[in-house]
Amino acid sequence: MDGRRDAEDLQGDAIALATAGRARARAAGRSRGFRSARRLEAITGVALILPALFWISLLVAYPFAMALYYSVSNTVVGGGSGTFVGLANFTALLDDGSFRQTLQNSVVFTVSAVAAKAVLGVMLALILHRTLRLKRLIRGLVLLPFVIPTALSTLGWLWMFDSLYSVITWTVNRVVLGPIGFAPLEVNWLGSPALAMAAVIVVNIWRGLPFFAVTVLAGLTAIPTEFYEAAEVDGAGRWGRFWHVTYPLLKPILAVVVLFSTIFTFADFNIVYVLTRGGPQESTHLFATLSHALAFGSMQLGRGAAVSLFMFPVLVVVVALQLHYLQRDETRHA
Amino acid sequence: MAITRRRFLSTTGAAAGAASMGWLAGGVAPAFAQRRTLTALALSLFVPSGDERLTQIMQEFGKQANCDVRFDTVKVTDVPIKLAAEATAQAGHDLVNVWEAFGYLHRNNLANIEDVIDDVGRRYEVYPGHKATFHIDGHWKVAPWYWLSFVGTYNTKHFKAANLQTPKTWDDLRKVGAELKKRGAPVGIAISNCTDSILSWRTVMWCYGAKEVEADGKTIAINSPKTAEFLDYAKRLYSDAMTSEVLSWDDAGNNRLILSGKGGWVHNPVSIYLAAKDKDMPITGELGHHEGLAGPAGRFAGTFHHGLGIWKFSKNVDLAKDFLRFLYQEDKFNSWIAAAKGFCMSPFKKFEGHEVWRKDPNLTLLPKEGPFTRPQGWPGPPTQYIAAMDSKYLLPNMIAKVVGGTPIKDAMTWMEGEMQKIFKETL
Repeated sequence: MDGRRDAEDLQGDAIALATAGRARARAAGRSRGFRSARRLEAITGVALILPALFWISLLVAYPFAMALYYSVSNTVVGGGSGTFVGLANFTALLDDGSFRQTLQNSVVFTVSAVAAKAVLGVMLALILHRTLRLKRLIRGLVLLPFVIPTALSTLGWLWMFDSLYSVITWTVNRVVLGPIGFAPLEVNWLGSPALAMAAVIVVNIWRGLPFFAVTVLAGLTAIPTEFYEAAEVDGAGRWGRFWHVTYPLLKPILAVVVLFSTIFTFADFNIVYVLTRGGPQESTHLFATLSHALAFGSMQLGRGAAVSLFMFPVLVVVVALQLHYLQRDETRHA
Repeated sequence: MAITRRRFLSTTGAAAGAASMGWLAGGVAPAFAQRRTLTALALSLFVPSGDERLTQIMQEFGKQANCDVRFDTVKVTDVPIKLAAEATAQAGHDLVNVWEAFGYLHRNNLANIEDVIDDVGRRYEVYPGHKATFHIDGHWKVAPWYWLSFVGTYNTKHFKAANLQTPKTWDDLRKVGAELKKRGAPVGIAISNCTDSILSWRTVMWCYGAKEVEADGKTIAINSPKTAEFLDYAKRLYSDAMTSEVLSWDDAGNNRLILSGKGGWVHNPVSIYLAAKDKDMPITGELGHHEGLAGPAGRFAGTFHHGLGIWKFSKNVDLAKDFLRFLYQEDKFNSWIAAAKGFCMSPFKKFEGHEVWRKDPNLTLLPKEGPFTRPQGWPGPPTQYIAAMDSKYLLPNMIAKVVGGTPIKDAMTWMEGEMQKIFKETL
C-alpha cells in the first residue's frame, strides 16, 4: 500500500513540477514579450520625439547657446566670433548709466503691467463667466488685442498718443473738460518720462489682458457649482464665495499665468520700439530694445547679448520659486 | 516589344544614374545650375517708383550679362539687422545698401571697388560728403548712390500772414519762429529718440562750430565753448519757437506737424512736399522750401549718404561690379533719378542740373545743398563710435536735458562721459 502511495505521490509531484514549469515558462514567455513590446514602445517614443528635439535644438537651443557665448565674448558684427572676455560685458553694464536706467525701467514696467493684468484679468474673467447675451461674440472680441500683431496694434496706439492728433486728449477735452468750462488739456503723452512709461504700460496691459482673462476663465469653468452652493448654504456672500472658493481654486492657474506673463513682459520689444524707441531720455528702454540698439545699431553683439541675458538668472530663480510653490500647493491639495 | 512597368523604371533609372554620374565625373555643374543670380538688398524707398526703376535696370543688365537678377527691398529699420546677419553668416546678397557708419562698420567685409568708382568719379565728380563717408582706409568700399536733401520746409501761408521772410541763418529762424509760435504755428526739430533728430541737430551743431570728435575720429571734443554756444541756441530756439511736441516725435513727427497745417517750419527732406503732391492734398500749394541755414561757423548739412557695397564673400563680385558700371551709365542713372522724383539726390555734380529738380520750382534748390553735406561724425569719419553714440541717441538726449532745465555745463559733461565709455568699450 505504502509503496503504491509513494509511487502515486511521486507521480503527483512530477505532475505538479511539470505544471509549475509550464507556468514559469509561460510567465517567462510573457515577460519576454512584454520586454520586447516595451522596447519597441521606447524606440517608437524616441523616434517620435526626435523631430521635435531636432527643431527645438535648431531653433531654441542653438540660438540660446550662441547668445550665451556672445555674452562672454567681444564679438562684433562681421568681425568673426570674437574672443572670450569672461564676465567683462556684464560688469561693464553695471557701470553703464543707460543700462541701470533700463534695469529700473524693466522692473517698473513688468511689475506694474503684470500686477494690473492679474487683477483686471480676473475681473474680466469673472464678468465673462456670467451668463451674458452674445457670450461667444464677446469672448471672441476680448481676444482681439492678443490676436492682432503687436506692431500693428501699437501703431494704432501711437496715433492715439500723438502729440497733435491724440484721440484720448480730444475726448477728455470734448467730453469731460469742455462741458464744465475748463481750458482744454494739452498732453504730450510720449514726451515726458513718466507719461511715456505709463503709456507703454497701458498698451502692454491692453495687449496681455486677454491672455489672463481667457486662461482664468478656463479655470473658472472647471470649478464645480456644488462648491458655490455649499458656500451659499454656509452663508457666504459674493465676496466670501470668491475669497474662499474661487481664489484658492484659481491660485495654481494664476501662478502659471503670472509666471508666463512675467517672462513675456520682461522680454517685450515691439511696444516700446514702436511707441518711444526707448525715449524720452532712455526712460522707457527695456532689455530687448537696449539690446537691439547695441547689437544692431553699434554692432556690439557681445554687449547686446549680455543685456538680453542679464535677467536670465533672476528669471530662472523666479520660475523655480513659482514652480516650487505650485508643486507644493498641488501636493497639499492632493 | 511591350514596355512593362518594371522595364520602364529600370531603363529610366539607369539613364538618370548615368547622366548624374557623368556630371559628377566631369566635375562640371549642369547648365541650369551654372546660371548666376545677381542679388541686391536695399531699403524701401519713400518713392516706390525709384525701386521699380532699379528693378528694371537690374533686369536689363540681367539680359545683357545672361544672368538672373533679384532686387529685395526691406523697411529701413530692418536693413541693419539684415546686414548684421549676412556679415555674420558670410552669405547673403551680392550688393547691399549701406549708409553713413554702416560702410565703416562693415568695411572688412566689403570688396574694394575703386576699379569702378575712380572712373565714375572722374566722369561725374563725386561730392565730398560721399567721398568722406565711403572712401575708407584709402579704398572705395561703397559706391555713392544718393543722399537726402534736408532743407527748411515751411508753410508759406503762415509766413505771409506774419509778413515774414524765409530765414538765412539759424538765428533768423529763432526770430522768425518766435513770431510764428505766437501765431500758433510753431517750428519743429525733433528732440527725441529718432534719426532725424540726430541729423538735424548735428547740422545746427556744425554751423555753430561745435563737433563731437576731432578729425582723427578718436579725440572727444564735445565739451567745448562752441558746444555751449550751440546748446544755448538750441535752448532758446526750443523755448521761443517750439512746443513740447518735439520731445516725443518719431521721424514722421515733423511731417505730421506741417501736413496738419498747424506747423510753421520744419527741417526735413522733401518727402513732406512729395507726399502732399502725390496725394493732391490742399496744403501742397502752401508748402515751400528754402536752402540750408548758416551759423557763426558757416553752412553745413547733415544727411544720409547712401551707397551700394559688394560683400567680399559674394560669389559674384565681378558681376556686381559690372552691374555698378551698367547702373552708372549716364542714361541709366538719369532714368533712375527721374523715377525717384527728386527725392534721391545725385552724389555726382554731373547730375545736379537734372530736369527732375529744374522743372519744379519747389525742388530747384535741392542739388545746391550737395557741396555742404558732411558724414555723421564729421570732421572725423563715421566710425563705430559714432554708430554707438547714435544708437543711444546721445546728441538729442543732451539737448533734451538742456531744454528740460539741466545746466549746459552738466549736459556737456554727461555726454562727454557717455562718449568716453563708448570709446573705451567699443571695439
